[in-house]
Amino acid sequence: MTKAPVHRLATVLVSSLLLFGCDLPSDPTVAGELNRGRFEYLCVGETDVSCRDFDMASIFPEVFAVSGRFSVRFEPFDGGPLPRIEPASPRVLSYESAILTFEREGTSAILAARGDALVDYRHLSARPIVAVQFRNGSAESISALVFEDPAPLGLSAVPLDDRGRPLAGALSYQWRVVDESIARLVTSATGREVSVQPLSTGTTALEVSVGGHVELLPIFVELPPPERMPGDTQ
Amino acid sequence: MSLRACLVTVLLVGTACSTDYAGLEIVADDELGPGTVVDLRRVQIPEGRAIRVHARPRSSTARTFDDPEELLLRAENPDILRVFSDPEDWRWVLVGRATGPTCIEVVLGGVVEDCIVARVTQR
Repeated sequence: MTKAPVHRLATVLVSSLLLFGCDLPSDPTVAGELNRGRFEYLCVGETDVSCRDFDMASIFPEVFAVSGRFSVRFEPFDGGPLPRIEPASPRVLSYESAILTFEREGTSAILAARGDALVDYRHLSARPIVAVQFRNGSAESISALVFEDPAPLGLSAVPLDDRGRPLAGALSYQWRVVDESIARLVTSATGREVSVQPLSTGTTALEVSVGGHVELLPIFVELPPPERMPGDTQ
Repeated sequence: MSLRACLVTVLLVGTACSTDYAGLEIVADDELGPGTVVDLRRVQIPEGRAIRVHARPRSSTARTFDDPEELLLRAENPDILRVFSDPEDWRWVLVGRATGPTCIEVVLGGVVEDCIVARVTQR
C-alpha cells in the first residue's frame, strides 16, 4: 500500500471517530427474510449481553444462548396491522407472555403472521455456553482479579459459544466467592455484573454459574499491613 | 346421431374443457439446506425451519388451473407441519413445527385431491 491511500484511510477513520465518537450507531432491527418488514430486538432483562441498558439493545443478535430469553416486535412495511409473533418450533424456541426462550440448541424461525397468512420470518440459532469471559470496568478481558488495596472491583461476565461468539438473551447468573474469608461479593449474586471486595491477604476464586456452565476466576489479594496508630503496643 | 352418441360427444367435449388434477408442482423459493427436500412426491424439512414454496396444480387436460383462490394447502397434522398462505399468488410457507411424519393435503375447490408425503426431521 502506498503512502497516499494510507493517509486517506487514516483521515476517513479519524473523521468517522469524530462523527460517531466511540459509540458506533446502533440498530436493534433486522429485515425479515421475505423483506416485508423489520424485526426489532427487545431486551427482557439486564443480564442480556446485547443490552446496554435495561431495554436498549444496540444490535439484533445473531446467536443466542440456550435458555436465553428475549422478545421481538415486527414492523411491517405495508403499514397494516401488527402481525402476531410466534416461534416455528415451540420445542426449540418457546413463547410465553411475549417472551421467547431458547429451550435447546438449534435453529428456529420466528414468524410474523396475520391469521393463516405469513407476513415474514427470520431464522435464529442457539448454542450452548462453553466459556465465560470476564471483563473489568473498562470492558477489557481479565484472567484474574488482583487486589493490592481494600477497594472493591467491579466486573461483568460474557457468555461465549465454542467459536468465541457472545451469546445473547437474558440469563440467570449465580455468583459466589469460594473462600469468603479472603473476599466477598458486595452486590447481588444474580446479575451479569458484580463487585468484589477483598477482606484479607490470600488466594481464592470467584465462581459464576450460568446456563449450565460453571467458570472460575482466580482472586489474588495482597493487602498492605494496617497502619500503626501512635500508642499501639504491638 | 343417436341420443347415446350425442351424450358421449357432450361428455368428451366437457371433459376436454375442464381441468383435471394431475399432481402438484412444488418448488422451494429459498436455497434448500442439508436434509431438506421439496418436490412433487415428498417434502422434508428440519424442525424450526420455514421455507417458502411455489405450488401450483398440474392439469391433465389442455386447461390449466388459473385461479389461485381455488387452491388450498394444509397439513394433515398441523402440530408437525404448518402451512401458511403467502400474499403472493401460488406461494406458501411450510414451517417445521415438531418432528414426525404427516402429509400436505392439496384441496381444490373444497375437494381433497392429494396428500403429499411430508416429514419434519430433527436437523
